[in-house]
Amino acid sequence: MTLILENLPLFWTALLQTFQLAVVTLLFATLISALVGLMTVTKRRWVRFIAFAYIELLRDIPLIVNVMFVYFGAPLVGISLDPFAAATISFSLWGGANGAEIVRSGFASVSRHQEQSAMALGLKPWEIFWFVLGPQALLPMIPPFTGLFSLLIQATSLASIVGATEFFRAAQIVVERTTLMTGYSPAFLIYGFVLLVYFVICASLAAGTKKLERYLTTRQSRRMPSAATAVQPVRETV
Amino acid sequence: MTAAVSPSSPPLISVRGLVKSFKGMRALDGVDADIARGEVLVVIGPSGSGKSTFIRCLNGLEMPTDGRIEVDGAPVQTRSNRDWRRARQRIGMVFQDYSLFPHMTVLRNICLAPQRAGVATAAQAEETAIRLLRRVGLAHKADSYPVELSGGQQQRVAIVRALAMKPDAILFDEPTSALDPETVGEVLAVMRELAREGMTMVVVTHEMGFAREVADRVMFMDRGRIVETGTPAQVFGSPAEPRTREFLDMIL
Ligand SMILES: Nc1ncnc2c1ncn2[C@@H]1O[C@H](COP(=O)(O)OP(=O)(O)OP(=O)(O)O)[C@@H](O)[C@H]1O
Ligand SMILES: [Mg+2]
Repeated sequence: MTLILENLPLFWTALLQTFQLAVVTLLFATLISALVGLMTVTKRRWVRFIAFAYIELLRDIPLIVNVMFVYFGAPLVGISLDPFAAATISFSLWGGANGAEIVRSGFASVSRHQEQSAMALGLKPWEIFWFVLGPQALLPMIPPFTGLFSLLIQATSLASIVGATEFFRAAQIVVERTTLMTGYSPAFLIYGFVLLVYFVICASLAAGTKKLERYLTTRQSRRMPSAATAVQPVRETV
Repeated sequence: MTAAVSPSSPPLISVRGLVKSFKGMRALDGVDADIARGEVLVVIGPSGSGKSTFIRCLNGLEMPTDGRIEVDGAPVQTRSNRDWRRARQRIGMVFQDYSLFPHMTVLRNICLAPQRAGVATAAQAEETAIRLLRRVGLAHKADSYPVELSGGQQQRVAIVRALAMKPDAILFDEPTSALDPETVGEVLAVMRELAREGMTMVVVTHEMGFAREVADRVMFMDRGRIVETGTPAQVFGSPAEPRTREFLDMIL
């Protein structure tokens, strides 16, 4: 315990780094998710193709390889990235690909009949998207996005491999230093502490979005997601 | 039902040589039809005969492969989305599965399109909506969500939603097929009422009682073609085509 307190300044700055990394990553990942996800539901074939290519490509690469590739690959094209930037870029790209897939399946979960009946009312394409499809697609996206966000926050620890001093790296440093100085490894204690911190962050995120989900379900739509379709015996005609 | 069918006035919807292919399979194979203002046309036929495809072509939910469609004497450029959107604002549609927007209240479901299309201001749209809801006996459900309504109630709201656009015609694709038998009547009653008021309607249905009673004309389709068209008395009483007789024997 004293060990943690002694190293508190280091842990604190590192934790701030982690937060910064996480916030920036989540922001960009969300933007990319929205953009690429929407590209997958447009009518233009080539736009969809680009989106799907991006999604497949990035989802099929392990995140850790992705980070290394961006960090060590960037200088080859004449850009030198600090570890923080390299990590942010690769996490955002990876998160964006996974998020885009969530956005795509969110829209896929909305019945095709919804678009049809909106069309039949003479609504414009953007109105159909904004008033009818978008709001319905949003709700089922919340749980998987919570999972993705949590994953990305945990993934920020991977930034340590390219040398960013974020929270996990700080823990490593403390463990190594203490082992060197005292000959006794506090790994169990320190990593236990690290584990707890990550857990608290991700658990509160999950709790927060759970609340948001419940709020949207009751206030905005009062829709019981499965019940809404289950109660209507629909014979498929289109 | 009404006598508004006068030979001199041009048909509200006119269809010539309509063809719709799905991957080489002809769902519609040269359909000609005129629908007069105020007329109730009931479309019957076996499953897969192209009834849905036909009425979906009438408001551009299905893009015809070939043929001409005119609304009120003006040809609709069948490839132009903009043209179709305008046409759709004048031709409402009611689906088998109601297709209300589940995340909106009944009132908002009804008011959205008229407001967006500039047909009415928010206040006007609401006033109209409440008035129409009252007529179908659902004014007290204005603030409910679709999931809180029975199938018959949802379908009546769907009809009101179509009516709120003040359309020239409404297309119905098997509006009662997904309903419990005991709620079919309440929806048919609303449709009967609309017909009496002179609304132009094209109705795909298996409710032969309704067809007999309400239709001005009955159109029998088979394999993408119109086999026979006539008054209910003709088609049900003394069908000219053996194919029609066969079908009616099977379902009646
Ligand atoms: N989107 C589509 N893609 C491919 N084939 C289709 C499509 N829509 C309809 N068809 C085909 O076109 C034919 C006519 O279908 P349609 O839905 O118009 O028949 P229907 O008379 O409405 O039948 P039902 O009484 O079962 O509703 C059918 O053979 C159907 O399989
Ligand atoms: Mg059909």
